[in-house]
Amino acid sequence: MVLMPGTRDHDPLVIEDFQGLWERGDPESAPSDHFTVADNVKYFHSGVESRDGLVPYLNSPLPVLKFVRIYNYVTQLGQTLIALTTDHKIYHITGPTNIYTNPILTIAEMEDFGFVAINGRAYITPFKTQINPQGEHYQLGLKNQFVYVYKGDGTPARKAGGVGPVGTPIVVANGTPAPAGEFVTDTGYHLFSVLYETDTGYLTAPGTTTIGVLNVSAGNLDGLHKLNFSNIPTSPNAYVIKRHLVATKEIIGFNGDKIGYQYFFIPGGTINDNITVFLNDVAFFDSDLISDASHLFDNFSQIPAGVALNTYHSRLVVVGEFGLDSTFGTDATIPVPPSTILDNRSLARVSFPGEPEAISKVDGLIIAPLDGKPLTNVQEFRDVLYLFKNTRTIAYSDNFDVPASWQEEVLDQGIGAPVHGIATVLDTGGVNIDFLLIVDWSGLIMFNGTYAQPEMSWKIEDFWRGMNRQMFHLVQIVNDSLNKHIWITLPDPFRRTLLHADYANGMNAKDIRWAKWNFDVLVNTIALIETDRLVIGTPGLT
Amino acid sequence: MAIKSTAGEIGLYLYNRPDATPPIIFPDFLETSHFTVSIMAKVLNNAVPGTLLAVEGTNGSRIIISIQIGYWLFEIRDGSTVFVQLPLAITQLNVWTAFCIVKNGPSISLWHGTEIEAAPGDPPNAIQLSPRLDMSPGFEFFFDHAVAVTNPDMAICNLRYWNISHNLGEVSIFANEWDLSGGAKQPIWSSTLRTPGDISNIVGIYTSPIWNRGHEFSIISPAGALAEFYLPDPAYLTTRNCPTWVYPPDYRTVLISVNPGVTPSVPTTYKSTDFIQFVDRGSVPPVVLLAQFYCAYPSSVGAGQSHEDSMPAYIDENNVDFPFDVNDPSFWFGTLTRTNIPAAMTGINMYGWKFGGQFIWAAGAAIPTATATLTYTFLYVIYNGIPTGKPSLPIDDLAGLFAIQKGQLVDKYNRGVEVKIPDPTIRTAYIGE
Repeated sequence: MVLMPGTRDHDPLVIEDFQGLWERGDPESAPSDHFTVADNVKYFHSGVESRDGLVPYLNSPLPVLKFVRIYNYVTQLGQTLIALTTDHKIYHITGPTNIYTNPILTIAEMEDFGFVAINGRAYITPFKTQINPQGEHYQLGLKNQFVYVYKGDGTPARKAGGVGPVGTPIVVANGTPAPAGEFVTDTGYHLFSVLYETDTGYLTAPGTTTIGVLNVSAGNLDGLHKLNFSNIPTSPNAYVIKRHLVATKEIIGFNGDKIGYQYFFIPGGTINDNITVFLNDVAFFDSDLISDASHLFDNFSQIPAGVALNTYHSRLVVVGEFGLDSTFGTDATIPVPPSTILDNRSLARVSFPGEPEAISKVDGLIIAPLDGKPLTNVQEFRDVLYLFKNTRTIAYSDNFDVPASWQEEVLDQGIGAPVHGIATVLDTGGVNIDFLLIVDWSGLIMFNGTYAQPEMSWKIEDFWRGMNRQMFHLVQIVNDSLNKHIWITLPDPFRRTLLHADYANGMNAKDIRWAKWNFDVLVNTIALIETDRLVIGTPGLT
Repeated sequence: MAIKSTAGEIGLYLYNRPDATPPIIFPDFLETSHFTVSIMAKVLNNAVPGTLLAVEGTNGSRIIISIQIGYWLFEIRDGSTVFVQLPLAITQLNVWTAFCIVKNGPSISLWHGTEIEAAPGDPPNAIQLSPRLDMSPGFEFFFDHAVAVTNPDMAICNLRYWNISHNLGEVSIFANEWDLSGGAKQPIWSSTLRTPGDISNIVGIYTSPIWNRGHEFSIISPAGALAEFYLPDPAYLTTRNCPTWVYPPDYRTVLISVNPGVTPSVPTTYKSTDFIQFVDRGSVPPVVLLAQFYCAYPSSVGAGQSHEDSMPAYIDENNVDFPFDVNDPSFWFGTLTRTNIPAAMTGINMYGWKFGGQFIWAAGAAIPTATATLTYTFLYVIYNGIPTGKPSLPIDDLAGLFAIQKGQLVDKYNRGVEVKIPDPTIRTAYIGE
């Protein structure tokens, strides 16, 4: 309890509860139980006390890293951090005493990155801020850059996806004869090839130059012998760990288009290494060809970089890409200049379910409304996929068909989220706790399928509106749902300030209690570790 | 409802110097027959006979200013032979006295002055230097190094060295106004041994983030002594770039030493496990260092076979042993007692470097060894600029990942750096009804 001192002609006032910072309207309009200044304090029950101090998180701070962005990276072995430094390098920090000395990824142009962990693997997309002729800042994935995958073991990240086999056609010969009176294969004209499987489970497109023919007239597939495959190509890439033979069913009236037919995985046609160049005594009938591999021809061998990554129905979603120009051949995604379309800012790429690196160039995409504003974020919530722009929220529902066919619903044309503007919860790296906290230009808003009004930041609306919109990509938010705290990094000129909110008294605009935490250093990025411990990443004084 | 506060002071490394009377040394930076050395001293207690300043020549000659019982004594010696012995003045308690020795070719001159007594509360007084001696001793004197000996009963300051000779008639006669106007000669290097690296000897240092408050006086005084510091630095230190600063590192109770026990069967280099580290963070601006030297006196302690050679050992700011060719004698300490610090050390990262030693023993048939030591370690850095003057810390100390710690009363950064939490403040607009 505080007894406010009385001054002349005024009676003292007893304040039983502190309700936090009030920066809305005239300072004299602040309710008596609110503060017009609340710096470096935290709230407990009805009281207020100094905020807690900092201690180094890394026990061995050397080499000193100057942080731009950190994310919680949930691996199969536990909670870790993945971090970008000012020298454009990404490091994996597995604990206070453990940091892989060598960066896992270095890209000179990378100013920031998007991240999602899937099955213990990290998917990383580098992006940077662009400025249009009107001076507006916006973020897009780096041009001619890609989504990367990192296995979490300290080895360098590599481009997600992979290039399929190249080489001369695979050779087939008769193998072991079938028992007398039996057939071991069908006969007839078939095509076959091989594809690679990477150490992250990605299946490349089948090789197009390695396609061979199975046919009696070709001296094989007489039905009476198993098949011996040889001249099977190997990949120069160490991350290829398996190869799979694929084949068409019988083709009647072959039209010469070798990749226009449907290919299937050949049962028993897997080579569990990247060394052996033959596989003998393979036998299958057309009826055994069940698992389709045709769609792999249409997949990106390397996925264009975006600004944000997330998952939806076990699919990887990438939004806000600049794109790949014609130097990437069939993977090119933006037209050759001159063109009025310079990038793919409203495009989202969606992978196949369970295959995060398999994204169809043909129909694995969603085109958000083309309003000139780039996609900034993506989030699954209650079975719906939400794509965000700075002032748009668009919903999509999986219809169990290709993503290009998904129904679009523009949910809100006034509220959106910047690239780091959706609160992550505890140290899970996820965001869902029955609601989302969205950082919008208008304020901090709770989203539970609809946007709740008034904004959670209603009490500090003047302060919030005073922040530089062009710098909202610097805003990052974390939610300590255990202790009911929220922290928000701020854009210029508040880069040394964390906005702190305590919602122990209620998750609503009235009961939330705000404070500003000031530091001597720039607070670039934040995350919760060890469940609910806040860690800040800083480059130091400047 | 309750209110708690953690408002506190800025905290930085405290620096403890275990030895009470360490000498302050200008080692043989540049061997020259032209030089100027100045020093100021104030006697705090009469019971302090002994050397104040010794300027050592390369051939055993030396120039000495000492306190005898009741008076200052100036001497020039050629080896053990006393060539000149000149009583200068009586010593006065709590009064600053300035000396300036100028060596110009064969000529050696001495300037001396005493603080004019000021009324309590008056601004600091100037000291007017007067020529006391100008002669040619008849033997050559090449500067090797200068040693100022601190004493619990005496405060000293403004120890400086130029490797040119000053004609004091060309410049100001005031010791606290080394004015370079009018075409006077620019000091090539100088040092005041002021606050950097020696903060425990400075009363009241780092209590203020403002350089001119915390660093106004360049006093070297014994820790705990109640010295009064009234004389300001020479004006040039605040108005011009000072090209050189001497940084005594963090002295430690354990000297840098190695004793392998017995001589090795083959010539072997042994590295110390002890390292010293620069502790005065935040003073050196982030500039390119023009030169950087690691100075130390290698010696041997105790009975046994002494080491053959000595050289530095470095751990860089990344906590990695910094490699260099230990077989290259140019890296050894040798008789000059200094060696170049690798250029990888910069004004930005020098705080992270650690300095140790390594010693080579010749092969021997398991003969007991003496302890090899490095003492009086100093860092010499030369740069264009002046200390930033802020008791802040280099960026490297403040960069990284830092976690909020419940109950932590200060913001603690890398390598023990602490700063107070910016003032916790609450304010209401309400003043009652």
